[in-house]
Amino acid sequence: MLAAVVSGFVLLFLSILMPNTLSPIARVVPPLVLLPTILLMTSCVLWLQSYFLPMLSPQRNIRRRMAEPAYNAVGEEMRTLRRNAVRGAGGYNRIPPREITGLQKACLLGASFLLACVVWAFIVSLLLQPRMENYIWDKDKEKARENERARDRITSPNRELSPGPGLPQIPLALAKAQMSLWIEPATRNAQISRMRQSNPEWEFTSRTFLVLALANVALRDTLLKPAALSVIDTIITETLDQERRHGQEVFFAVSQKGRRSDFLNSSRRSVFIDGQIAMMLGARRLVEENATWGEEMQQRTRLIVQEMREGPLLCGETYPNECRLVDCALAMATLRISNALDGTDYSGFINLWVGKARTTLVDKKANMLVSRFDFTGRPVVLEGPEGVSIWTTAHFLSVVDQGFAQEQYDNAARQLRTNFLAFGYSRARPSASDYARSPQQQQLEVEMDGLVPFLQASPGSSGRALVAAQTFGDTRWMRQLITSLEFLGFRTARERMHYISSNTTGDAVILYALVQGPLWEKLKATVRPPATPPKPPVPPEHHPLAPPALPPTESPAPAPAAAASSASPLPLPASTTPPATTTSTAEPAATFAPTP
Amino acid sequence: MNPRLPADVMITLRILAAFFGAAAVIWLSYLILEVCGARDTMPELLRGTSSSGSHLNNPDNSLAFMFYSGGYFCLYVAAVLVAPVLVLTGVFFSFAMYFARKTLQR
Repeated sequence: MLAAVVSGFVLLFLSILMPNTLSPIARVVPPLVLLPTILLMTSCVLWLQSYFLPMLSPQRNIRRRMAEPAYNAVGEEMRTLRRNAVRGAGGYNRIPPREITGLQKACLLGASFLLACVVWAFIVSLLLQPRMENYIWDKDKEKARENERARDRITSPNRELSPGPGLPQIPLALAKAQMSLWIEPATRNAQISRMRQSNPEWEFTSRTFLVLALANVALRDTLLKPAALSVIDTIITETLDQERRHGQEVFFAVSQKGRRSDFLNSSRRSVFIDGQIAMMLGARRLVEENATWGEEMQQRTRLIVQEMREGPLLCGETYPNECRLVDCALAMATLRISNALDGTDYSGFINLWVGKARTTLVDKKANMLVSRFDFTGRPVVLEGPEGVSIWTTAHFLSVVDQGFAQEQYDNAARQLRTNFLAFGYSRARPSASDYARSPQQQQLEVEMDGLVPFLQASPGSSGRALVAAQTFGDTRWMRQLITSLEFLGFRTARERMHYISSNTTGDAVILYALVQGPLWEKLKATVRPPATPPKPPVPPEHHPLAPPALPPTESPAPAPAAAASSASPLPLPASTTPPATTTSTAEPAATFAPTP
Repeated sequence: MNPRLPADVMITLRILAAFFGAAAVIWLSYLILEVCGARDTMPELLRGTSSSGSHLNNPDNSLAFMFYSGGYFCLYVAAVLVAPVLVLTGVFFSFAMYFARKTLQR
């Protein structure tokens, strides 16, 4: 009773201290509900005590029960023993039964606890295991469905065909929810201002990931394609408008505001902003070509190349005198898209950048790419390998240099991939690194990253790990990560489906992780094939239709674009080689086939 | 409860009741906080993961709020991971005790 009263007062006190951010119901209901509940529980405990623990119950209860015949078998036994002892030698000399010692009980309890843990771990892994078909694309099933559709098309050509393959259940709901945010201007503005208050850089990143996700959605679900393209266009228009009106600084982190003049590159631009905008434009154009966005993207890619070529390590600045590898990797992926869409040839530059990154930007101990460094030739590393950076970098590198990306993913997975029971997560940083951090820095990181103590689990890093795991086909870890997401993300569909623990950026990253695939596949498919060497002329005697006296043909000159790329590893300065010219010269290989 | 039950059965029932009771307290407390809408405070609790600022610098996140929100989070994890283990431990331990006593008395 005393405990109940004390608990009630504590709760009332806490409810008074409760901040205004909580609803009045949430402030008042706990004491009102908890007080009678605690009273109820206390009375239950007292009742149980008097029945199950008679030694602790009041004496009068014991006397009352003892008066009942055969109250307790143990008591009866004890009475018998006592009687026998009184009878002395003449009585029946009975050996008292052996009792379990305290040590034996403790051992039994420990063994039971261990067994329970093992059994529950097994049950949890089965119960909480997500149904992966609700989350990600099943390629085999889809292939079977595609074959069925193709068969239908042949057998009944007049029948109305079902729309595209469609999205799994969860990403579909997430995509619709996030699109609805951008469709209604009121919710859109509220969302943007809320995110911008906390961190404008994250708000900007959420746009990129949402555009990438919606581009994949549009390619995967033909029914959603018009709506997805409309939202993508809205996002791009709004982003460009913001940039035009307020400059690139509008998307900078709060600590970097007002530092544009400190940029060391001549154009005073951030490769982070240019790269991500170009990525949005490229993703949009990969789904469906758009002339306006095409021109904008060509300008951006030229700017990106210019900014990066000025860097001693071919890396552009994210913020003044600060380069982030993830932004450079994203910019490289953008150049790769430009090669495919506009016929530009930045492959030499991309190869050179990858070579530089391999030699100068890899942490020797962790064998992973560093995260941040300064804008000098012998870089001062500001931050060594880190989860968010390495997973995203590996993802974008997968379209730039598959081998290097896979190598980085494998190294990162070896050092950061962790799981506890069925729950997968990523650590924030590798334990071994060339770049040690001070205790103050570590404390700051714990607060900034929201690290889970003891486990060193980083929610941000785990979110990006979801993207990388899906990119590199790490299905087992993907399942474990989704298990953690579902357990700790608190998914709700009350108004619109989202994860309560997450924010807009997190939701966009999760959606992108679940739907990614078709965009990169299309990028790989639309890549302009390199100029193939001409086929050797067929000897006239083997050619049935060959004219009898053909003069020997000479090998044709390579295409101008191909020639330029083979002669020099670097493209000409971007300003002097407009993409339109490159596109017009880089004709398909068939054009240069030997003429008879 | 029948007081005429044999002593072994009574001990088994006591153990089961103790462990089930502990698990029930966790589940009940979690349910109450869930009904109160404590789940909606998770973004505030996990602010450190969703913005550049730490929750410790946020004046809205007082100690009481952290207690309320953090308590919900702990109870949520305990309701899924701890309470079932308690129940299973109770079941295993009570049967182990029962059979151990029987074996020793034989």
